[in-house]
Amino acid sequence: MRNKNQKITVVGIILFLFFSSILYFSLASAQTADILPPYGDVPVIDGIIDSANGEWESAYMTQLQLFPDSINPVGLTIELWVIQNDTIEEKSDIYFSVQFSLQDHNSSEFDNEFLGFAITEEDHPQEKIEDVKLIQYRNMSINEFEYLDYYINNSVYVEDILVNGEGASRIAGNQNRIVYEFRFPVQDEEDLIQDIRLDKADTYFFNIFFGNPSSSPAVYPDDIILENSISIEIQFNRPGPDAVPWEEIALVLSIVFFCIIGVLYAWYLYRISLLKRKMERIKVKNV
Amino acid sequence: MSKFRNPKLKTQVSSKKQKIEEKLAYRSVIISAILAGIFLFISFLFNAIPFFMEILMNQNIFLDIVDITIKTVLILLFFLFSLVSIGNYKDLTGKPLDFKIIIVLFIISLIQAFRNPWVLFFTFLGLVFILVYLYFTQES
Repeated sequence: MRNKNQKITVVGIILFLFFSSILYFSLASAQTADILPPYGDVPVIDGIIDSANGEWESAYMTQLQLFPDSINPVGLTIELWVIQNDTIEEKSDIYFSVQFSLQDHNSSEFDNEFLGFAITEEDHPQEKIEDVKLIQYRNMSINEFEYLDYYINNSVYVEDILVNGEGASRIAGNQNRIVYEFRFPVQDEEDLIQDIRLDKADTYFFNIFFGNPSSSPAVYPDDIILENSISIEIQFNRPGPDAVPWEEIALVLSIVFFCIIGVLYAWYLYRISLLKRKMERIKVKNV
Repeated sequence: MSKFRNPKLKTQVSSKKQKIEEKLAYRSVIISAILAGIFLFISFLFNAIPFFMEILMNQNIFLDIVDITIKTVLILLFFLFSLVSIGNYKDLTGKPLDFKIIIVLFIISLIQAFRNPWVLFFTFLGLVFILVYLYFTQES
């Protein structure tokens, strides 16, 4: 009878832990974004990184791989820089810079190169892209490009009547490294029909895509050859000094948990050493 | 030839056998405990220290899967070797391995994964699988 009760208790605890972990899992998944962009000085969208004036200095930078599909892990390594402008106004902007190098990048081979972002709301399936903004090169050697804004109508890319945001690009000094810069408005209501409204404190999927068709004009999305997605939570405002540092709390908690487990482990080793002594005593007694 | 075995001889043989079994069980307690300690340490690095935690994270889906697999397997191995070690320890002390210890080990293993929801989820599934497996094999 006692054994049966114990089993029921164990099954109950396991079920409780199971549902708790699912709850935690869903909460954590809903809240975690890959990037929480920091606030900083507004960069000039001209395709040039002005390091002397500390442009993009306070941006969040991560390295990403753009790859042909989810099975093939080999792709193009890019640097993605993200920053939001430091403003107390409701309307603000989010800035992106994508930088990478390719062999003979300023040659005519890359005359039709394009790079852009397909933006989706977090609670929508990633396939349902809502808004596309890209830079399409016309002539790489003379740095001729166009910033384009599209919306998706039944999987067809349709050019927006009002172009929202801005973009610029330029081949950097060493002729192989290219810099793309974008500005997308946040809490903007200028064109709600053809543009996604990026709201503060909401998470969005930004699918970064790249293409380099041999002939012009490029066809989207057919000419996209490399892509990768990243989720970004648009920040509400500059985090105050009293904002809760969850990352630090989680780090401290995990170290505390592991220390407790370590202490329990050391105690168990001590018990094993006691057991050895006990066994030796029994052995001596028997002899 | 005598038809009856010497009972003293039989006791001596079984006592010798018991001693060997005890020695093996004790060795298993120590080796399993050491292995559990090693996996606990590596799990600490991969599940708590940001540098190691982020080595394979957020690069591509393939590396993400590898990352989650490594973290989950480390915790499951810790659980498995701890269970074996404590089980043998209890066996040597003449007591059964009770449910309380299994639950404590279960929670200790789950706590290690709390930083990553995916690792937590798969660790939970793995732990339940191990427990169900042991439950049925031990019952039979």
